[in-house]
Amino acid sequence: MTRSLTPLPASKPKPPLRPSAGLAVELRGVSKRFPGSPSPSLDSLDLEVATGSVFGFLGTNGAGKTTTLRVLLGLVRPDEGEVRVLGLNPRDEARRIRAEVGVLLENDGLYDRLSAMQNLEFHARIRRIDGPERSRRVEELLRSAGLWERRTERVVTFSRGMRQKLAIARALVHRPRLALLDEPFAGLDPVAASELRASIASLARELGTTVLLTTHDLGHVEKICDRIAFLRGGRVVASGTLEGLRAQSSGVEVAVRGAGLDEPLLAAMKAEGTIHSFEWETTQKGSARIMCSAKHRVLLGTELVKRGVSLEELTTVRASLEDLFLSLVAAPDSP
Amino acid sequence: MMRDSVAVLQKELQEVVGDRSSRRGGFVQSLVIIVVLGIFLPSRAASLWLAASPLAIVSFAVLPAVLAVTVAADAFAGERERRTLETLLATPLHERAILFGKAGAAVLFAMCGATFALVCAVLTINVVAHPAALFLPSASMLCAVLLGSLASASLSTGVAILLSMKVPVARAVQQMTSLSSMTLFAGIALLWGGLGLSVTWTSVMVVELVVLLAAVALFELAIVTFRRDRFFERR
Repeated sequence: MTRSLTPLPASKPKPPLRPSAGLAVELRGVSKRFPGSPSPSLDSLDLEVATGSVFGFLGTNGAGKTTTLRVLLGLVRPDEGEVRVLGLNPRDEARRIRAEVGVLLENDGLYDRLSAMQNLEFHARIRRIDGPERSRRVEELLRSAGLWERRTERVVTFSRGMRQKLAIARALVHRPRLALLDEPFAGLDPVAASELRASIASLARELGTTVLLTTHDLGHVEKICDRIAFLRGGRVVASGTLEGLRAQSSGVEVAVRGAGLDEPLLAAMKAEGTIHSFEWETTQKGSARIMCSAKHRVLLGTELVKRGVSLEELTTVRASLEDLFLSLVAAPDSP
Repeated sequence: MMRDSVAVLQKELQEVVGDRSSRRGGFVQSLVIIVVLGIFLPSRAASLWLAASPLAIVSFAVLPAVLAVTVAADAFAGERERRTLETLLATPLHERAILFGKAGAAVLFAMCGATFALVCAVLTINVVAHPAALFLPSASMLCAVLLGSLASASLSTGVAILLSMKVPVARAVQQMTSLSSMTLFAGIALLWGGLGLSVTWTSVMVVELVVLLAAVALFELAIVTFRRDRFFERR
């Protein structure tokens, strides 16, 4: 099942990108094809991330999320398109961007042979944090990550969750204006994940840090992201607020119960195209879950009554983010 | 940039010290080199040392290269293997700071080893040869040892770093560098003999200087070649 939410941008010439106040990240028409790769990693990617927001970047493996982060950091040069990060162009001002950005990339990037403290101190040092301020900042981050007691232990002895906490602490050691976090919740237990969500929210709220995060755990996205973008085949296939995306969704799930509701009737409605699909509820007699378009949802009750169903319940079940995710980025035949 | 280079250098040396898995191997390797350079060879050629012959210190011009390679081969290939390279490249560190820090750590490590071996050699001569007066290396000998160690360590570091940017496996870089460095040193020795040049402190130091200049040229080449995006050309 394919649902198209926002129209895909047509390939037409775009005006040059001027740094916009209020935007931490802007990409316009960014394309990248790696040598030897049959398909582009990024294909006319357009993206805008507002300053101070928490932005969720969703997509399956290979959708282009990591390449996008690398483009933002100036580690990968796009073949075409324009990029601005904090108003700077990664092509000419990559060092300034890297100085302002905190990163947690695909791999945690921690030095196994160094202690937790040495890892943070190295990054604080190269970020020009000196003297007592460095010690204070490192201690504060290690304590908030719950790693102070193990600060002198080599990182190789740490669990996945501890490593992830330390890597996030490292990304924030210089209080970046923009944090790029690739799968920040990976390896964290529910308590630690909840704490990290709170930290990310306070980063954006109190320090004005813009957070761009990728994750496969959609529950986290629902809880903290102001806006989200779905990436597929190197293109943004939908973006906006969660509620906005849900509202745009052409598909609605409806729970229906009533006398006279039976499988042949629903099969006939499906054949006519009135509904997309249905699932018969085995636990409750005369109940079904129906997927239909938003347009047909309006007339669904009337249609069922017209067909002799005595309705007892007709409730719209909110489309979950997972439904949206699956329909937008995981459908095999989506554009 | 100096501060950043020093930060990288310190981090590299901390990694060498913190690598317990290879610490034993590294310790054994360093011990072998120091025993060979500092005890075995001086005890066998004590007369050359006492006569202040340049032939006494030939090994000092070669073996520090081996010590340097163990650290330098790790520069990029090792970081890539341990998946720390991308995070390092995502920092605002200047390319030169990264290169100088990594190269500096390798050369410093080798120089420390060579200096320690020299001290051992002097002690060995005094113990084994029983000279009438306390044997101390002459200024020429000291300069030649230090310059030779610096030149050979720098050359092998330059080769290792260049290879490390291309070859993804640190072990392969180590083997390729050792082989190419040894070939180069053997070539210099053969050329020297072939041309019938006399072995004096001056000629030794001139050759060491040439090797050092070659190492500087390799570093320059590494700086020109080093571009962050080249590490991500393939997804």
